Amino acid sequence: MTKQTHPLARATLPGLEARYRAEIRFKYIGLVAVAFSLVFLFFLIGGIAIKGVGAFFKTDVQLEITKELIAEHGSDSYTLLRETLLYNLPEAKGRLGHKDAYKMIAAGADDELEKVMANLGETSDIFKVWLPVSDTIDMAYKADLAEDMLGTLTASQQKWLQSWADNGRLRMSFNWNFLTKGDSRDPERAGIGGAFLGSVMSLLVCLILSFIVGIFAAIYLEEFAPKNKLTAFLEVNINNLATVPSIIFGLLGLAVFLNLFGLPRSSAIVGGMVLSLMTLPTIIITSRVSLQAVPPSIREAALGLGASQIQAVFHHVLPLAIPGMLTGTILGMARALGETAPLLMIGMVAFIVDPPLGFMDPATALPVQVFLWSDSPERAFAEKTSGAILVLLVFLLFMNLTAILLRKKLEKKW
Amino acid sequence: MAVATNKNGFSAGKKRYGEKAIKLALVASSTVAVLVTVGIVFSLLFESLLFFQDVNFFDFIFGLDWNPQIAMRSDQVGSSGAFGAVPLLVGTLLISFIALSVAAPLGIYSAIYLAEYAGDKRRAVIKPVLEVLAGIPTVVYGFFAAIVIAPALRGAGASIGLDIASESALAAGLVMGVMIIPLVSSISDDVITAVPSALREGSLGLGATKSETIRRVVLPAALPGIAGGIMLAASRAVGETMIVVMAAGLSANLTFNPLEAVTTVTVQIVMLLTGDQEFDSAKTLSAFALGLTLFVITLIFNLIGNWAVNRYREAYD
Amino acid sequence: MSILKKVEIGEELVLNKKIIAKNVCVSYGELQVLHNVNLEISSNRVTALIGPSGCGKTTFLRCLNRMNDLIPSCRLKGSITLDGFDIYDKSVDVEVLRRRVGMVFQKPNPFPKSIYENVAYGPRIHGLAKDKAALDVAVEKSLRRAGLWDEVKDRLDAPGTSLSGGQQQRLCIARAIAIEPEIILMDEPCSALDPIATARIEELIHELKERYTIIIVTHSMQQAARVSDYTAFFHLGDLVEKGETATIFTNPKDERTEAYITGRIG
Repeated sequence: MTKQTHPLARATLPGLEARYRAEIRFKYIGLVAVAFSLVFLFFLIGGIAIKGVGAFFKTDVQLEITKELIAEHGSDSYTLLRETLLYNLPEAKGRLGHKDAYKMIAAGADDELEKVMANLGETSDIFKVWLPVSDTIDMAYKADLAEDMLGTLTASQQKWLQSWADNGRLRMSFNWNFLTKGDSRDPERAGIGGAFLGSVMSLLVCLILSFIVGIFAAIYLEEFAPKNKLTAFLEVNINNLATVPSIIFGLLGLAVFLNLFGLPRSSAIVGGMVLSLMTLPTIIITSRVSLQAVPPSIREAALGLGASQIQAVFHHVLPLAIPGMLTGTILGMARALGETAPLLMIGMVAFIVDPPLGFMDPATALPVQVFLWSDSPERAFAEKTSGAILVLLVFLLFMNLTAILLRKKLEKKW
Repeated sequence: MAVATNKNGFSAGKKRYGEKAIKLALVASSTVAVLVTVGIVFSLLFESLLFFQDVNFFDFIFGLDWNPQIAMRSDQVGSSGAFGAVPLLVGTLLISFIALSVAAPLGIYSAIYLAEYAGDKRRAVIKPVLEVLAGIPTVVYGFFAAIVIAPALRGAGASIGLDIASESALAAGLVMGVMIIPLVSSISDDVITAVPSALREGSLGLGATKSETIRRVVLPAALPGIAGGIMLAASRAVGETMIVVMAAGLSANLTFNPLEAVTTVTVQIVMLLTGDQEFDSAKTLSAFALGLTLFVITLIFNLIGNWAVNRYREAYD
Repeated sequence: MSILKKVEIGEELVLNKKIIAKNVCVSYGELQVLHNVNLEISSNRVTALIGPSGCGKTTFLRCLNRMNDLIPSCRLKGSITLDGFDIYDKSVDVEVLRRRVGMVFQKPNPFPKSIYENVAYGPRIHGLAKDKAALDVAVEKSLRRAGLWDEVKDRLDAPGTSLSGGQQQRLCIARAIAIEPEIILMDEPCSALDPIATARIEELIHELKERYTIIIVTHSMQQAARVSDYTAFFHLGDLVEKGETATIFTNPKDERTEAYITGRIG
């Protein structure tokens, strides 16, 4: 038989070639759409990570203190610090020169100096002490003395920084202040410690309130409620609440908790209450799903043995549904951790330095701290904001991973 | 605790009291959800009604001028504030529209790829990534929009001779759009997967290619559900606060130009309530009127969206 | 008989055979569902594939238009040729195959579009009509041939799903013949329909075989006896017996065939 084109090949159907090209284009548009999201995520997290990683480190400078200086100013660390600076920067002349010199060191370095003094022995003539530099010097050094960062320094400061760097008098150390201290007007002393504690306390209140009320409501709706119009109304209500914008819950908290009940503004307890109202519908919905996943045979077995409905639910169904409920709750808490708008409404916009001691004390929360810092003009605060975001994202990652692991663990049930 | 027994010797009574209490707690917990809705509606309405005693309702809804300054002292010369909400509503809709223009095509095409083309391995990687995108707090998106996207847009615009404001609706809208992509994508994915395979087979059996089947049969069949998903995404966009507070403008500007700075309802609520105001000044109360407006708008969007998605699901189950 | 004469007859036999399946084995992953099926389908006749549930007849049918390609784990060994050309050849594009081999499914599956658009779908996709007038002509022709025209001619814009079950199935038949296939595959087309609609469709099959070659899978022996010229009996993945319908039903050679026909199995 002579070789001919297969009668079922592409050429026999006119237009098919063009249709195949359209097919390939279509598939790749979909792939590009997905790739866009991946790339955006990469740049978002990557960009913030690059900006923020510096917040966890600080630059220290090594200064020399002579015995004479200590003898003269020993009890007054503030003056001792200034005199030490002038001793280490002999070119600083005149009032402006002195001002520039004082600005090379961090605010609060005098407290650090005092601590070091307390632990010094009496052996040498000259002591070497590592003290944190000011935020502008810190940013400039972290940027490897890049042009745009140097612009914030005066000419003398730039010279001094260069000479310190050349003489190996600068080092990077871990910035514990960032994790432990509260907010401050000085970037060097600002930390997320207070905000973190506020978040933890608010989430605790939120967890207790929304978990208990949520589980109970889910149990009622799933196991006990009669299938009538009232129950349907309740369900529609809950589904709708789950999609109300979070700021509205803040308004509710402002009107009712702050104004009607007179609870303290910006406190962890009010923050937690507002967050719990917002998380409640989600927990009810996910808990109901967990209850629905328990096979009816479990309930029937219990009832068949003479248990009351309550005993059947609480002793038999609930234990099997709890892992799923916990997963849903953890995810709800993760969402609450990142919420800012409702907390702004109940007053968490103030500048709060001390971490809250009790649930009624003024507090702030991690995302609110990010928001407040993002407004500050200092370059150093841009770094701190990014660092705070990293801490926030790490905690969210941790919570989500816990939820996923929990979900995987309970998938082998039946 | 004495356990009462009836004449057959079975215990009774103790069980009942405990159980009654538990049952009460169960019912009470369910009513909390209703109480929350009632609380929201009442507090918003109450404060808004107080507001409408000072400011005419129609001036609020239809007024074109938003300038909420209140005379500080009764003898101060200076206008009483203008509380026309139209610039805020237009600003909200403009930014939401930009967001949806980004999220709808990207979300739907992502869903098509995931539902129809991606193998199990790719799906297992892509779905979690989209969920990560959905889980990032909006304050982070806002920071990114203000620090990275807005300046980049401004620079790009300058290089082609366009003057893009540093707080343009475009910057805020674009970032908000990306935030909403996972919402559109997951609803569309569910909806597309729910289209019965019998329809796909009917089309393929006639000699249509896969993309023709998707474009001409599957998507039209899925359209009501996808439209519902977009309504829900729109509701999310309208109610979003942090991205716009950080990246959009603070003063009212009635325009449809995405390159200009506009403000939204949510931004104004934050601005009005985070200053030092007496609680019941008209300025503060106007925030509640705005909140009520926001609540009503998102409620309507949600009801329509949910209705569309549910009706679609019923048709194919 | 001279050799030339034998070749002539042989060629004639081959030419009359539209589809030839040789040693076809199909498996889903590890599970083999068809073993060495050899079957020839003649043109302009109705061939019925019968057998108890799970015997592989639907799987075989779906191989003929490569619908089984949609199942990733499905593997085929052996050959299936259409007019002498292998349909699983690498150079074959399934869209071309499916234009020549149409399919009607078990449950009517009209698209959620108007009746007109349902029938016009195929011609539109393949670019068969050059303008609206030509498309109208094609749609009317198909609906007439499917015996549905008189019932729907006044409501071509109504949704296809608004028709009754039997009408929907005839709509699906009209949709399939609108692209002018040579072969129509029918997978238990009447199993979801009532007896009157079923009778209507069986009548239609009788009319359609003048123009098209029809292969019908049915689990009703009576339907096979009524409708088909040639019958193939499948059992547990084997093609047990094939032949003229009358012969199969009155004088089956294999005892399994007899057992199935008399109702002892299946």
